[in-house]
Amino acid sequence: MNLKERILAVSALMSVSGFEARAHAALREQLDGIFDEITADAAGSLFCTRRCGHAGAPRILIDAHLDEIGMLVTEVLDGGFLRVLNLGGIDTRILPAAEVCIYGAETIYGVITSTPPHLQKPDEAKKLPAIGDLLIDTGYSRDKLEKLVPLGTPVGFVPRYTELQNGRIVGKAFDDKSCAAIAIEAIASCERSALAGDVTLLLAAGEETTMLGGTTGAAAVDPDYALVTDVTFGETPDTPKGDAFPLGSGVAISLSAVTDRRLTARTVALAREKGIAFNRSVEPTSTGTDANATQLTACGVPTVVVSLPLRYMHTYHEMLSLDDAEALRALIAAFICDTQTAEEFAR
Amino acid sequence: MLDLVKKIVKAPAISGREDAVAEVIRAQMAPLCDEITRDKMGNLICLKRGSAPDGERRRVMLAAHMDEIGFFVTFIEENGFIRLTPIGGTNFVAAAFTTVVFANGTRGVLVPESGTAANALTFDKFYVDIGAKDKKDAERKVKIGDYFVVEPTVTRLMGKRIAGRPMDDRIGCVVMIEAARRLPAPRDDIYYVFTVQEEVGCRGSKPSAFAIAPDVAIAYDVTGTGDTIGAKPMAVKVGGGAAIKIKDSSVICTPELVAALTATAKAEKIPHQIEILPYGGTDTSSMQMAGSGCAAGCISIPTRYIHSGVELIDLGDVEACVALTVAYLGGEGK
Repeated sequence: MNLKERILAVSALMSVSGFEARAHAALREQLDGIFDEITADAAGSLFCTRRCGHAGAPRILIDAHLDEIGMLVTEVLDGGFLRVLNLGGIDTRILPAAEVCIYGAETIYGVITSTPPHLQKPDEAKKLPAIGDLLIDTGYSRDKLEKLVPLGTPVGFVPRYTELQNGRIVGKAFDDKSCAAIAIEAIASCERSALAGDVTLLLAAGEETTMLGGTTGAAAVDPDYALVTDVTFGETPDTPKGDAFPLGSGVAISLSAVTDRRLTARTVALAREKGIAFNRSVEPTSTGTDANATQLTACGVPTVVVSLPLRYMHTYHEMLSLDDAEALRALIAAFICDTQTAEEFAR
Repeated sequence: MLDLVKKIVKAPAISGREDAVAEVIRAQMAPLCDEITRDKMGNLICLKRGSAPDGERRRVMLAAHMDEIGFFVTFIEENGFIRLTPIGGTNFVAAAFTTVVFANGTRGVLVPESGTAANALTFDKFYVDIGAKDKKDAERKVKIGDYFVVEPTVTRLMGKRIAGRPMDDRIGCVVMIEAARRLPAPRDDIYYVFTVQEEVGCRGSKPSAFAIAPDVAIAYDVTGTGDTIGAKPMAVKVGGGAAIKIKDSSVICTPELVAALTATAKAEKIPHQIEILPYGGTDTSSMQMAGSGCAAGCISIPTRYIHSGVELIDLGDVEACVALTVAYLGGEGK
């Protein structure tokens, strides 16, 4: 698998927040041979460990969250319609007419309802629909639907991917499974003997809702130091200056009050040494990622946050650049092989 | 069961001041378990050891919160009227013109300043009149920092329905006590934990779950319903049986545990319903996230008019919650 194929394979899995365990079997198959050990926990996270072969080596945690935003069925209605709640932050402006998969007893297809402009009331176009006002049209009868779709069934966007010019790809759930896939490729690209420690990739559950897996996973691994990778905003003509990064400009390394200064400085130096393109992202006291939980684990874990620019975040048409993906892969690979970091941060 | 409800409802215990109810519950649990402790925060932890051999016994944590919403005294006016601050999510429309009771048994009436419009009912517009002649007289009974609650009551309605307060969450405590009675020889180690400070942010269950490090955790708490006039659409109704939670604002319950509870309820023909609560929070979340985490779920008691003086429940639902717990834990222990 090359990097693009890996990103598409991991992102296409269904791992709506709270239902990540349903992706575990397929993931284990995809990861066959890369890791020495793969285990799951009650939260629904997957722990993938590749060892360096030295006793007493430091434990390095790489965190990318496995879950994606989605919806949850709350009611089955006459005519084959479903009412849903959001899991994670969904912009309801993008929902009307969106295509979805409903992961019940069988996986079925549905379209979210949309009122034609001709039939909209005067002010309707200006108003944001509430999630409870939108329904999913499945084409089934209510009786059949009740059997196929128990209350609490997860719903996700249809996994469909398109490649554009300049190595840009578009599709659902690159937040954060593109980073998960890139981390997998980074670890796979390093010889075991080259690793600076035992590396555990935490594919964390529940980031979009409660940061559950990042919290419990870091506690279980108890690492010497950690790198958290997640998406950040990709620049478009209408994004605010300073909050977004051009696609193709490399990764964004976070300078936040809650990430470790020395580890961040070492990561920046590594990027320079290896000629990896990067920007610096200045954030206040929260990075909005699992790092908020990682760095508070036990007596505190030195944590750096490295992000991938992503346009149209939390939609079914998220867009990333494969050049940035390669930059992130190269930086994670350099990070886990860097003996200077290991010496400085081993407890 | 009604007698037990009345006993447990009666002891006033706001968040952070749970001693009175903890003693009532301890007396009930003492003959039913092997070890009872209170941790530094005040959680009452009752351990019943299981019969399965080492390595096959799961550590199961059950949690219901002992605390209730209420008020602290902040200031006493020269004329003897008592000012207050709310503890937990108080509905001041429901709290207006109620009888309140202090820990020392002093009673008063909680009233808004005269002329306050219904939509301006906030805590700083309220005071308690305990019948004092002036500040000095009031201070004989009440001092700053004392706490009080809307008077606990239980009223029998038609059929198996009762209304009163605080059902939230003494009724969850009742479910756990009743389940302990019917599980004299469980397979698993069961920690019945009566938690503190849930109403102010699920605080007590955090350290207790961290210390116990359970494999499986189940919370017992009230949930809202969609069966009243003007209620938001929601599939849960009073009388519909034990509500097996899928999510609330604080948690997405572990799918395998939701499936196991649902399968148990179906197999044992226990009335049950699926709960998806678009708001609210429970101890479920803090247990799920403590330490390196655990499988967590919640069995909810459908309740109308939550956080008012007339929280309405059906004892048939309470019975279903007990039956589901006993069936799940008394079975193969899977």
